[in-house]
Amino acid sequence: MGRSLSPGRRAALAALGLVMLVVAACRGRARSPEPPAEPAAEVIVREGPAIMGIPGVAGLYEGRSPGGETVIRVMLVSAADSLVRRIPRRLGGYRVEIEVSGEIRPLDR
Amino acid sequence: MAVFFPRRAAIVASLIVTAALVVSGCSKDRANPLSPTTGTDLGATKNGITLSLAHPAVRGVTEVQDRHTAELMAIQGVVGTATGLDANGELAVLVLTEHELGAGRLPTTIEGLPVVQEVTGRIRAMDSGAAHKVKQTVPVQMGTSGGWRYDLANGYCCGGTLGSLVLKGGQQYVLSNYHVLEADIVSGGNSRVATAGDPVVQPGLIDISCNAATGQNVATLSGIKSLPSSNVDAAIAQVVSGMVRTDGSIIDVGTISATTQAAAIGQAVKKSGRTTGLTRSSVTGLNATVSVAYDNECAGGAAFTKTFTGQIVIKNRGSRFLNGGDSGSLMVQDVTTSPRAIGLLFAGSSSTAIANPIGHVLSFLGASMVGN
Repeated sequence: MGRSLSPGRRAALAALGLVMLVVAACRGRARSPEPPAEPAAEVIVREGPAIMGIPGVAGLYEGRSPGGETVIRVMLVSAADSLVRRIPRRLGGYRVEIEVSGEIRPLDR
Repeated sequence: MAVFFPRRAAIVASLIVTAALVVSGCSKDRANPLSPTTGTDLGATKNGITLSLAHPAVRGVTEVQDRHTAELMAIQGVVGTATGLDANGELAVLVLTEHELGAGRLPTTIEGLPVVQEVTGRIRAMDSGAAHKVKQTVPVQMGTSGGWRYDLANGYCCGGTLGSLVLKGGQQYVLSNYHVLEADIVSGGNSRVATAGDPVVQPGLIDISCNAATGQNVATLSGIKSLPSSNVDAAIAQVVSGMVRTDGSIIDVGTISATTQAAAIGQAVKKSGRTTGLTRSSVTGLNATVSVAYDNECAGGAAFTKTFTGQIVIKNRGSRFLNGGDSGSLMVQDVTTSPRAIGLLFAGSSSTAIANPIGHVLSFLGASMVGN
């Protein structure tokens, strides 16, 4: 004859398991990355040639998000998925934002 | 032998579903249809749907915007409202402000929608640019149409802006771009190349029906070709005595400071140029590496592609700040009196303008700004 848990104990175990799951899932949100030590300008100088070598990249620069975070923006000539996928999410520790600028041209007439 | 009761199965299933919802809610990386984070350009797509009033979700946000515009406009410093995207690419109510409003001045959400502050500066009627294209009575002001007198080739004439005045070796020179004054480097369609001593006309050929005879020579090319080797798109032309105001006055700007200033993100700027006249914007980026393709003459073939580094990026939504023909304009602080020069505008797109830092330009030329 096998032993089985009472309904009350089963419920308690289930609740404990759920709490552990919540803690595990939310731990990542509590952490935020520290600002990179290397200035964004230096990251752009170092990483720029490789990014500029991707066809469809018009440029990259140091920007600021509305929240005041320093980001590196990569300007693209189009929003094609195949191009966007080639751009890294972070460069030198800085979050990368995509800007669909179109081609940059001299503005004479 | 254990028997699996239906009620137990229901409990287990509900726990699994609950856990899945909790994990997805706490996950740091929210799904974003365009990865990595997209910018806030209004022309972007969200979840594959073009942002337009044809879409119900966008219309819903505009209705929220409309319901709250009156109360938002009553807040001092607010100059307008709009529907757009926040930094995460989510639909948001934009609040346009004359200057940065501090924390607590604006609501963070409206009817559940994020509120995004966009510092636009004061909204003014646009200068049509007409005063910047006409033939002026001498001595002329800067911020005006001008160009190489022989810039006619392949069925087209070209020109840009004579943006400002600089001092070099005790002589005054008009400052513009290399590609406005000296970019004709092949005999090609006009059997000419831009050469030191060639005249610079005001207005440019583009505003006198390509007929140089109806323009007036105001300067002569120096022959200092900044491209393709240097990191600036700059050219100067020595002033013809009596043809240019010696105080360096710029149309709609007046006289500027002789002192320059480095760009900063968020800085309010203005410029006076041939096409869009007096316009205002703000610096959105620094230390830009940007690639620009140049032609070998007016309406000619490809000459070279130059990759510039350390450039200034300025917001140019809808080409309202800078458009074709404005090349050569001087970008200055947006202040009323004696603004300091910040950059030399030379390139862009319908959303972005690019300027050489003025320090780089003056250093290359061995010159200083003419000003107060």
